[in-house]
Amino acid sequence: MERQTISIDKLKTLLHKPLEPFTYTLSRELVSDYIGTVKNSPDYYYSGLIVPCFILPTLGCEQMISKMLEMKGIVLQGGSTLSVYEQIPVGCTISINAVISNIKESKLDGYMCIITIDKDYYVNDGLVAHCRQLSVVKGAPTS
Amino acid sequence: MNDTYSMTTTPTLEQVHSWARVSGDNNPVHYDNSFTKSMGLPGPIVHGQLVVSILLDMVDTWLGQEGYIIDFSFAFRSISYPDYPLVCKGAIASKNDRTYSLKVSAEDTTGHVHVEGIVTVQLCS
Repeated sequence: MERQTISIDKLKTLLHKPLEPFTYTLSRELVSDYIGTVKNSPDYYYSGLIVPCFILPTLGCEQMISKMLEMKGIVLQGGSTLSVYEQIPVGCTISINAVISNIKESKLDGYMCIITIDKDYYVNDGLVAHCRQLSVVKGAPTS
Repeated sequence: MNDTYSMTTTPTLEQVHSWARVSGDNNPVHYDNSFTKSMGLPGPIVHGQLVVSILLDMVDTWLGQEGYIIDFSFAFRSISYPDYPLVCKGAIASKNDRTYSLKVSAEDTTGHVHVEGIVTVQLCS
């Protein structure tokens, strides 16, 4: 797979700048799809009323990962925290405001950078959850 | 709610592909053999967030109708590969009124920790 290479400096230009908000409709089909994957049961149908919280950290992942994949290297998960302030009903539309809040570089054992992403989740303009994710990019070029 | 809970699961490559499709996490490290080999890995790896989701689904099953998750924090310690079993464990670490703190982990069959974390649950009154 051919990929473009960008410098860490390009990623740093995004630091502390709010990204374009992501919006998802948490339809019953989408929720069923997620849970069916976790349970390794492709035809799983979720009949519950509340969205399981494990889905939340993955929302917006597509947009964030695509930015990191522009760097040559291997992108791995470092850590993940989530606080849920309100139960989220199935069928609602959720919007996510994300920001790259920290980029830390290390050259001790080959090149590595740790990227911290903070995400706020809103339903009807009310804050319902917050997530912080750490991604590790190993072997990426420094310039 | 019992004080401990455990289960064993084996993430499959099909599950990894499905997770990539549903989540949009199309990092080639999860499906591209030549890419993973160029990075010194033996093959595609399981999404860390999929392992976390398996652990959280375990907590949901453990809790049943008794409560719900309000907070969690996970650290990724080691890479997981498809078709290798993971032993998922949970134990109540502390109780404060109706809020319980659970220590959970996913380990390989030798006891090496891949993912570990703390999950806070609120019991229904």
